[in-house]
Amino acid sequence: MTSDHPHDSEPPVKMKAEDLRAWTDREEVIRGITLRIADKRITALMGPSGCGKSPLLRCLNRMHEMTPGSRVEGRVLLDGKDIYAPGTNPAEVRRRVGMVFKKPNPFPHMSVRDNILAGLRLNGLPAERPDELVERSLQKAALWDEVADDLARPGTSLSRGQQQRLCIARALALGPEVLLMDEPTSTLDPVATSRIEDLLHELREHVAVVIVTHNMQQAARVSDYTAFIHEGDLVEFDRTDRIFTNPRERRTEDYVTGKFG
Amino acid sequence: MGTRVTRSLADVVVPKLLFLCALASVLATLVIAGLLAAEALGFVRTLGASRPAAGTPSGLASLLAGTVLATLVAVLVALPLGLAAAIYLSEFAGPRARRILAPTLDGLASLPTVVLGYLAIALLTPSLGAHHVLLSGVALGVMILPYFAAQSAHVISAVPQNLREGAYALGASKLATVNAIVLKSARGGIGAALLFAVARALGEVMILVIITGHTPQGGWDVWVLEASSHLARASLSVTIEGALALVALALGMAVPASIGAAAWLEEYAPRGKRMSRVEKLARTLAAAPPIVYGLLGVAIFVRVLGSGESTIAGAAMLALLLLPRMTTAFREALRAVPGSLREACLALGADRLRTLREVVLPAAMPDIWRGALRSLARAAVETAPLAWIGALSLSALPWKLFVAA
Repeated sequence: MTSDHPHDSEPPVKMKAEDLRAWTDREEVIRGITLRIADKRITALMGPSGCGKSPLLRCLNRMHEMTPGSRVEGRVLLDGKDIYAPGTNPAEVRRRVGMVFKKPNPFPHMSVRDNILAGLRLNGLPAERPDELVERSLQKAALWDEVADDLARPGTSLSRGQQQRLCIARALALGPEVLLMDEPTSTLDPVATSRIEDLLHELREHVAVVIVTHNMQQAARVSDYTAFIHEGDLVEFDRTDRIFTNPRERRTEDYVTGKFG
Repeated sequence: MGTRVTRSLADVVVPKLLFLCALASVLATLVIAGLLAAEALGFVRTLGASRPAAGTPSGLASLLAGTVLATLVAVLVALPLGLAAAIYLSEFAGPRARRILAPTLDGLASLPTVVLGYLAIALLTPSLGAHHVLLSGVALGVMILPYFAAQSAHVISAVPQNLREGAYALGASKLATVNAIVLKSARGGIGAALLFAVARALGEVMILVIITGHTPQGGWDVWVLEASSHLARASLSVTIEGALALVALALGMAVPASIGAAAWLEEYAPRGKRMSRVEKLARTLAAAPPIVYGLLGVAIFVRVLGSGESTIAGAAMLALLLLPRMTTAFREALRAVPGSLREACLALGADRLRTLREVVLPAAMPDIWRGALRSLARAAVETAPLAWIGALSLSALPWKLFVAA
């Protein structure tokens, strides 16, 4: 991936976390992280289990605060505007910054089609030309050819890999500018995983993608930039090729060479 | 050599003893159910035999029509209120409010519904007038409300969190998420809860009517009232020492027997199909309407302590009453002991009995005590309100039960 897309010119910054701190009801899970998310690039958040990469991701669309007892401090800029500024509607942030979860979670009482339109309905927004939106979203998620013959079947009747692509299509239907993915392939088999990874290359044309993974190979395969997170700190952030071939930090080197994690 | 012989003897005898305990537990529930069924049959026969006066619809038809109307009103009352309570409890209440409200609601739901019905009727009769469909309906609504709300709250809480997160991540508000995702996913369970609540309330009224020897005349709100005033007339003269002795004695009988029954069912029972069917039946019966247990409990206290019958006989009856539920609770306790502990013990060369005695039972003991106390508390919760309304002069049922067992 990195070889296909030379980094001659720095891409514009889509999101920026500034001295971000986050707590759960028990402990501080993010200890002051500053991080840039490039537009139309894939940024991987990598690190061992429990390092804080998922909470960091969930701070980027204000999902972290939905966990009881949690707290967030610092700023997260989206196109230069702080999404934590007073008066900001978290729901609007979440419409602009979509999210895909570890486990596929299509709504079980909805058809494939209704799952795609769920975002609009849940927000009380009218769907202009819903059929086109459904087709376009499914196309973008590389699922259209597999489900086009029967859009009325329940979303949960699909295979796990298809369900996860349905969830990606559901997020894309709202036209987000950033797509957050929390270990989207961790419950999928290798074939389904590689389909999602292929899909990431295409999504990159339209949106900024942030993907959490504890799988180093996945980070190396799919991302342009990699952030190595350890114990709530950002240890190192750089272009993915440099992180894996020439890390500056000792801890990063130990992790990518398999000495811990 | 000697120890070998005794141990193998114990290995033969103990499972048989445990099996007897299990049998007693299953029989106790079957006897309770059987007696109720017999009484109900008599009631239905009276229903068929009662000749309607000229110009009035037949007894059964008017009974059905009244019940259907009352049920409709009850659903209109209980559905919105219960659903609102359930949604608040499972989606909006803070942890502290939930810690207080959830057990309260569960407690209310485990009261015999007739108690709630009595209160509602007593409160509403002045404003609505006696024997009114609206009165019956509202009273029935009050009767089903706690159970329906508690069950619905459980169903709603069981909707996977990741569906809520999926909706939030699409920018949905909390209200939209609850409305479009959570309630839609839970609607099957909510419908079932409503159905069960209504069936339970009607069933409990019927049982009360049958046991107090009423004939199917008038509306069932009249029965609830009459049965209650019947209760109120009888007096309760129970001394605290007497009650404590009775409970202690009953626990002394019920706890070992239930442990034996649970141990056999969990550790020794053959895993055949027929066995599991018997088990399922016993478990269903152990979940029988609280009113059954409540009425039997009142009867025991009134008959035994009020009229100086032998405490041992009363304790045996109370033990019988505790047995089915206690067995169920103890089985859960034994099942919660990890299989790896048993395997570790067996791998060290211990036989099953020794494993049970030395490892499984000690590990399960805290849960067993908790289960015993909870069974007793449930019996008390079901008995006390009925006793509070007034002691019931139950003549036949518990004694038949005792003789049959």
